[in-house]
Amino acid sequence: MKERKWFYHLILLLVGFILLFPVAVLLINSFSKSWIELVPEEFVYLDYWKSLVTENPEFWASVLRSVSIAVFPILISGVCLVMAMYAAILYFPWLDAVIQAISMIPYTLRGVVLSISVLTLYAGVINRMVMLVCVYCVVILPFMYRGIRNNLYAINVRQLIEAAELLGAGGLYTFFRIIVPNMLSGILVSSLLAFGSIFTDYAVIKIIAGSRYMTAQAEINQMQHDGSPLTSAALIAMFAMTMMISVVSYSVQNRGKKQA
Amino acid sequence: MKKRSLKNLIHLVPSVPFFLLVVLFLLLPFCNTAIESFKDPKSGAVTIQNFITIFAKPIYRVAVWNSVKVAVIGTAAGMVISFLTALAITSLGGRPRKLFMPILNMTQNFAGFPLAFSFMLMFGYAGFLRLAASHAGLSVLDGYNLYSGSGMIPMFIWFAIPLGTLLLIPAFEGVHREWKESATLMGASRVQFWLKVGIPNLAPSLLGTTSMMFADSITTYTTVYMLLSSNAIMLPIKIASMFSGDSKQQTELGSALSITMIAIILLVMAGTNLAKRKVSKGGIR
Repeated sequence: MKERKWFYHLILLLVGFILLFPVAVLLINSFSKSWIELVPEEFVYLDYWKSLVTENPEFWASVLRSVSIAVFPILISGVCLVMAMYAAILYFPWLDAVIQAISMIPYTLRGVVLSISVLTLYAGVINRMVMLVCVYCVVILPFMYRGIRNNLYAINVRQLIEAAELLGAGGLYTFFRIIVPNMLSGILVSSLLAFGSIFTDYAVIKIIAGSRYMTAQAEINQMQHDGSPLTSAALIAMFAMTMMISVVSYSVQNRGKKQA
Repeated sequence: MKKRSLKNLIHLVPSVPFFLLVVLFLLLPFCNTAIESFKDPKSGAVTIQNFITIFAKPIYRVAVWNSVKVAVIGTAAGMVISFLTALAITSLGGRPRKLFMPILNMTQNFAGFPLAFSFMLMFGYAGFLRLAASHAGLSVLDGYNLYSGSGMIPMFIWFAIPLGTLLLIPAFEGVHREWKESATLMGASRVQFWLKVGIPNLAPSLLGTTSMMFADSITTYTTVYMLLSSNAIMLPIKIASMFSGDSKQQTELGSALSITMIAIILLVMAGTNLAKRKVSKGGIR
């Protein structure tokens, strides 16, 4: 028994090292003058970070663009799904299976195929920004659906509805005053997951918007690729922001679990 | 009765925006792509020429082959490592688990540009690990070229690990301690337990995770694009380059490439589903 434990520890140590090594490399590179030799030159060199923060307004503008392009799809997708779930929960239980099956399609189709398909059909017909928002709406459906659905299981909708009906509440009232407030933490978690996936997307933005709409990812792609610490700093900054989003969604999720 | 059901249909109205979104931006575009893939670029007649081109022209054939190869090896190696990691995490539990979960959640977000950039620093033409190897007189990295189809395999394995482990942990939690105890009581060895009880019960999640991982690998765009931009001979990159402005758009061929990629993913999914039915014994989902 004891030697097996030792083996498990060894696995975790090894895998942990493999997973963390590239992260550490990027972090160290962003804090050094250059890294073209065996060891980084002048480690803890802050100029590139200073330059990123103070001299690169276009990068921060692009981060803002990334954030703003993520907001609309999440709102639209969320509202569409919640409304569809309203019909499914209160009136047509079979509809839920249909919504689920459809929401899982983007898992297989993925960003690249989805965006070239939309582009082929609507190029010249619809504004590119509208196209971008709508493609993101579809891309995030799996995340949105899963979050909302998990939450619905947790709150036991059927019983809530029956209780509300017994007390004389109408369908609309029950849904918006009782079910939606209960779904909020689930919606928040899925929104954050969806936000993360749009925030780090490059395929969709590259295919649909090209250089018309420079998000942070597009901006980073235009920076130097040859091991430049400035690019590393930008990447670490993006990574830190994505991490923050996932930490927030993780804690919201845990809080929701404790309540349920 | 009939009147009532008609009245009931009004309640379907709230679901209209959802279906509108799905029809306009998922169903119609995808059907259009499927149709385009069978169109002749010049005459617009129905043809399978586009698919013949994919398998006749080396550049497309190699792109398909590269993507499949990288995805298969990445998925296979990723599955083995994820299996062991998830096993170790769930068996140890407690503090090791508390320490390791954040690592998985964090590195899950690292795929894409950051990962590619970090690999360039390590294994690129002037990567420090390459320098270290030559300083030490080791020739292990001499034949390794990060900027090639096979050279990217380590990156594909790397990002498969957090994804796979996070998907497998819930499944391992379903393998109950009591099962192990009763198997041991009946005289089963550890290997026997895993072969006869553990793996058959885990099979649905193992296979599901495999197809997830495969779909994730074969459609990977960002990581590859950072290394080689549009020069990479990989399926997703070739698909995207058919539609970008720098050269003449080749919608039909690009659509055929997309359909090929979807067909490969569906094939793997069908395979894992079939295997799921054969192998699984009830078990955990």
